[in-house]
Amino acid sequence: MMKGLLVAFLPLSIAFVALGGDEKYPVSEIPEALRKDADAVVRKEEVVFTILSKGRANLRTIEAITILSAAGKRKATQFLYYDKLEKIVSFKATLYDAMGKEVKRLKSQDIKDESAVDGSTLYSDQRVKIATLTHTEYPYTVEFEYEIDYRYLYSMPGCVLGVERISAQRVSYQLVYPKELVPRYKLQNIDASPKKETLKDGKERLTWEFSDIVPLKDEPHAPYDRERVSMIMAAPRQFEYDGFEGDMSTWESYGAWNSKLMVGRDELPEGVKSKVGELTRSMKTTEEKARVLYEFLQNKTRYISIQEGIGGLQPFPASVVDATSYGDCKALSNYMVALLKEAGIKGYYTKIRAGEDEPDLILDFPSHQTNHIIVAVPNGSDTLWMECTNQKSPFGFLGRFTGSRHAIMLTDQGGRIIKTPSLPIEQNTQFRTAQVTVDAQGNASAKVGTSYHGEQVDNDGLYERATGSTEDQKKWLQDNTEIPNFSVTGFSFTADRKKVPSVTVKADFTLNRFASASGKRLFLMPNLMNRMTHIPDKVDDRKSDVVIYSNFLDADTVIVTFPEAFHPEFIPPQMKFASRFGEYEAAMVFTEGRVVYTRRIKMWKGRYPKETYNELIEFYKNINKSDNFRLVLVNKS
Amino acid sequence: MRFWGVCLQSLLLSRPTKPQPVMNRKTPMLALIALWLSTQALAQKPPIKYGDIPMEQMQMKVYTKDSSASAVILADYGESIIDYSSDNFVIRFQRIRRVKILNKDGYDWGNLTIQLYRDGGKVEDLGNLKGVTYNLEGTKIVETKMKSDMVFKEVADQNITIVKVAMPNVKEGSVVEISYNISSPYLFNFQDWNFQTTIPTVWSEYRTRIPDWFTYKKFVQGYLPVTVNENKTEHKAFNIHTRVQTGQSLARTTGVDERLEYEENYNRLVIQDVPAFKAEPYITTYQNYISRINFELSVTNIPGDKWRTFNSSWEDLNEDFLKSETFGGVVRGSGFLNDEVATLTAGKTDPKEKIAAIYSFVRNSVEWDGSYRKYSDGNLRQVITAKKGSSAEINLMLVSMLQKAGVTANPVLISTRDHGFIRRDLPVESQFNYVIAAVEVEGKTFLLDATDRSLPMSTLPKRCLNGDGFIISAPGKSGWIGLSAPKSKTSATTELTISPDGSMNGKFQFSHDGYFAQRIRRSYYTKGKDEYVKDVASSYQWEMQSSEFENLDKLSEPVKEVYQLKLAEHVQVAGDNMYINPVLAHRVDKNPFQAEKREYPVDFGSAEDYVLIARITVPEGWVVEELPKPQALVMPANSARYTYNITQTGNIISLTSILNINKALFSHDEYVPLRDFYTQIVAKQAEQIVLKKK
Repeated sequence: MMKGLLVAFLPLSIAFVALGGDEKYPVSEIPEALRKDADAVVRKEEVVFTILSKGRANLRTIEAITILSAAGKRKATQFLYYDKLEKIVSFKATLYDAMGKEVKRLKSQDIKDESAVDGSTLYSDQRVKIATLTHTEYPYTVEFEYEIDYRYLYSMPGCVLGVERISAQRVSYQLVYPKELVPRYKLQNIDASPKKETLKDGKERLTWEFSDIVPLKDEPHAPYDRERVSMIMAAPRQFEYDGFEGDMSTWESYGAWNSKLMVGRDELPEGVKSKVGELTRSMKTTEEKARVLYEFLQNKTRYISIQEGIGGLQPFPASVVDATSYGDCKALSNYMVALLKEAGIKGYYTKIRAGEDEPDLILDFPSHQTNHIIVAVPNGSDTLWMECTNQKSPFGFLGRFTGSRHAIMLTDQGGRIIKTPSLPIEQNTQFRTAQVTVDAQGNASAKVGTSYHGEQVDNDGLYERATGSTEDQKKWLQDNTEIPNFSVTGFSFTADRKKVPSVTVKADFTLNRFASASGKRLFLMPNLMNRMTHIPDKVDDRKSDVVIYSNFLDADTVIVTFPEAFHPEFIPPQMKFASRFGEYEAAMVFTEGRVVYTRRIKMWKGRYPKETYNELIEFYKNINKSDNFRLVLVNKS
Repeated sequence: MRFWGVCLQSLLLSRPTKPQPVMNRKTPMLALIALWLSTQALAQKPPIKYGDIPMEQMQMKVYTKDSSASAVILADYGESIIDYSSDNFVIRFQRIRRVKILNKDGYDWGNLTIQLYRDGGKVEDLGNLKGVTYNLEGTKIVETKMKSDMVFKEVADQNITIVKVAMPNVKEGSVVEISYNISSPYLFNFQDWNFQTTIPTVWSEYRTRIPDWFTYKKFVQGYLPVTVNENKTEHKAFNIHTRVQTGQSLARTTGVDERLEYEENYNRLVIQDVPAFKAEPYITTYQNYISRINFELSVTNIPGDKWRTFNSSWEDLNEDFLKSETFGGVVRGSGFLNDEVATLTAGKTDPKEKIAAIYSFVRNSVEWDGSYRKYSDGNLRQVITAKKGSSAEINLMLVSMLQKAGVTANPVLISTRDHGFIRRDLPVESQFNYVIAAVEVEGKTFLLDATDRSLPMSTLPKRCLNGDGFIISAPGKSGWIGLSAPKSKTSATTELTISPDGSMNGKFQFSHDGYFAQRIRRSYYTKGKDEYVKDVASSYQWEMQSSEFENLDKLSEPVKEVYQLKLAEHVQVAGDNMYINPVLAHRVDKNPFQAEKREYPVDFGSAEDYVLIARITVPEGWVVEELPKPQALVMPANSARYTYNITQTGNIISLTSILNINKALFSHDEYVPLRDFYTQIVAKQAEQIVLKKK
């Protein structure tokens, strides 16, 4: 069909060429279906990744994207990162207008070249080239064409189809490799086998081609996008990185390669060796020894991000950390393992994908997927965990940053998959008792005591603040107290540094106009500071499962005292409901001249079928409604 | 014979972002090289000696003047002198910083970042970088020296190199001392000094020694008293040894010794017990409030060279900008724009029409690249071709085209909100970072900025609203103009009917102008209509039935939004009572000012009005039992006002709720009344209507 059209219009297109250059990517050729829910349309994406040898590769990419509106503008900028083992051979950026007429090409001086150090990193040897194209009228099309030479083979670019608000018209992805270096690949949500060819030079080529891919729909409470998109992942089998050869086919062999980078880097100077002896001599159990060494590490070192060499994968030697008393996660974890070793304890350098909002490892596809290192010490049936970059975190506690996910432990037998702990609901709790005294004008004072346990100590960095300055603590209180008007008159924070840590926050408030006084009535919300404000949006034709990411239990008791002349005119009804996602219960009771409000909510972590989404909305709606109930007091005098 | 022309090499090195027209004169190279041997007698002992740490600093556990401090700068001492070396004047800067680390949150103060300029081949030279971490072990002070592998150098871009030092062995209780020198050939880049930072400083001192051949304008800003401000002039002399090059080789020279006298201006500034700077909401920029001193090269009067001025009065500065090829030149020149101007203004006689036509042409043809500039980087033809430009390029083009159309138009230099306040007693160009346009119509002056595509022509972007701007005009006609924006207004009108089950149905109509309209336009176009409407519905918890928009593209008109909706959960039904909060939009549900007191002004950016007019119909069979009382709140001098008026006629309840913020800037003295004002608004807007079943 397309071909026929081209032939029919050939004379015309020649005329155009003669007049004003060739037209590429006219916007009129985008099918209507691809413009729906899209800010940008990938018109053409061609990726060719060629493995040249165990330690050399090449990437050639052409990507043309039509920017439909301002919201798609970020796609008009292309970042190419590089370091001393990666060379950007060419980088072209061309702008076309809606008709497909070339407007401009960036010259090399228009492409910025900057060091790729972000705000939280002290030093990195990575640099970045940035090409930005912009046009005054939407839509327009940008085309980036580039080639990168890799003097190593380690991670390989994949192919991701249809992310949020971006559709794709034509995508091709090719892997070229010598027969003896067949790469591995994994398809997710794609059911397409590649075309396989043998090229003249004897190399083999796998080709996937896709067309007309609609954007991924944004769905609240869905699994991570990473899991929902269609994609191809690729990784080598044999590879070589800066002189280190390895095999990535299994987690065992991948881990073994990573261990090679660390050979000889665990030597400790004599001084610290005797210090380890001194500290652990009187200790009996592995746990006691590990704890004292962990605390030694926390007191001795500080975290500084330094990304240098071998893609930022090789730790600084333990002796360097000993001398400088700082390092990044690799260096500090490696140092910790060395300290443990000196005390006769086997600790493992463990690779993990950290972050409160990060998907888990794709277990059936060994490849570079991690961004952080922690230390694991098997201890009988238990495992002791150590986050070495934080000088304050409690021994054995991982929290939301690295807890409850898979990790790769580097053992003598190679990499081994292990799961970090997930705390049961009974340990992720928040208990609160508040005494509120309201006067006839509606002004109130409140004494509030709240204890947070387990993962809840990570609420807006509470644990960090609790162990920080009073200034920080006050700021935390001000940011996390959901009362319309309040002044803090006194407060205290106490952190309990246990394996399942807790923080107790006590605060006194004066609440200006806490109750709304209208004539002879006082209106007030007894749910002082734990109101649900979120209701998930309705979604038509929901595609993905419903996911609740964390377990928790909150229990609040608020005792409201008011002047004798007032009596409840309206006490909202007790609410109690349960769903597959959790349980909720709230009640107000008038007793001994006071109103006692109790609220208890439990949420279960889990994954539920997509059909349950409306139940989730209903559940949240009911909670919202109950949380916003007002108590009405009326002056009878 | 003295030939000092060689020193001008250093003056010729100018910052690329700061072209200074006076520097563009060519100077003949002279085959004369002078060695300048200066004798620097120190009048006053430095406040700290490197490596000499008193025991009480080691033993310090808490900084008593601020017990919340995680680290404290014990002393920060810097000195800048102007010296002569290798055929050039250089600024020699040296600094010693000693920090006490009090707890783990202060560990980052074990690092130091130094920024160096370079331009072409010449880099500012970092020298004698050294540092020691001192820890107390028992009664013994243990030293850990900085080594070269703890220094990281990073070429940030072509002009800036960043050196980062990470000191070893930093622990709770450490004293960390770092010292370094910078020698700079860039005389315009005299090191500024910040006395204040985010942790407290016990002693911050900066000394400068400048030969009277150089005049720098300097200004001290901040809310803190200066502890010492000592000025002295010393008569000094240099022994100059000149070598005259007699042949091809420098080796064969004849020496001439000479004594050259000058006055040295010495200044010593100290601020003691500097508190930590703490950020608060509604401030413009950190740089506006901390105590600091800045230097700007103003005049050089070097023996053997003529007197040179670098913007010593506003009138001079005006002339410099007029003369500058990248400023005035761009406006006067750019003849290629004449055709476009002729087309745009063809048939138009009213200057207002011409202005509107040219303004929309510039705004729609050139997209702002987001950069704040006061000089044009290239010529305007390139800008038109690239369809992208800086604030300077866009607005200088606007001025140029307006002038070509016969309209009285001039560029206006300003300092944006994040760049700091303008000081009118300091005529230096570095105070400005942005340019807009002023036009005169019928004796009135209007300000224009064509960089923003979501604001009407009459409203400057909020970033521009910062004190005064300086109009660059014909000699004698330059001057100041206040930067303000008309009041922005957002109003909502609603008609809702309550059903016996407590649900409400009806319609909302919004009208927004100024910055409110800008926000709506940006949000609408970024999210797209569906997403935008969805977010509106979810923010008010509406079930949206229909939505309509007007004037989204008509920037001169207010944006209008009309919604039909159902509110299921708003009314609380309690047996024979119903409770309703009638403030259904523009409600302040939390006081934005939580801190009890404040050190700095509150800056809203512009004056604002929030209006709600609601008509609520009571359901059949129900009567009004109680209405909130009307209330009016006024801040002193009517700087802000709130009125809440509620009445009942038959089964209709009418509410008018109006919040007027009548000025942009509230001083810190007005903070507490402002906070109370908001407290009362929050309380009033929480009040309920009570309905009773008949």
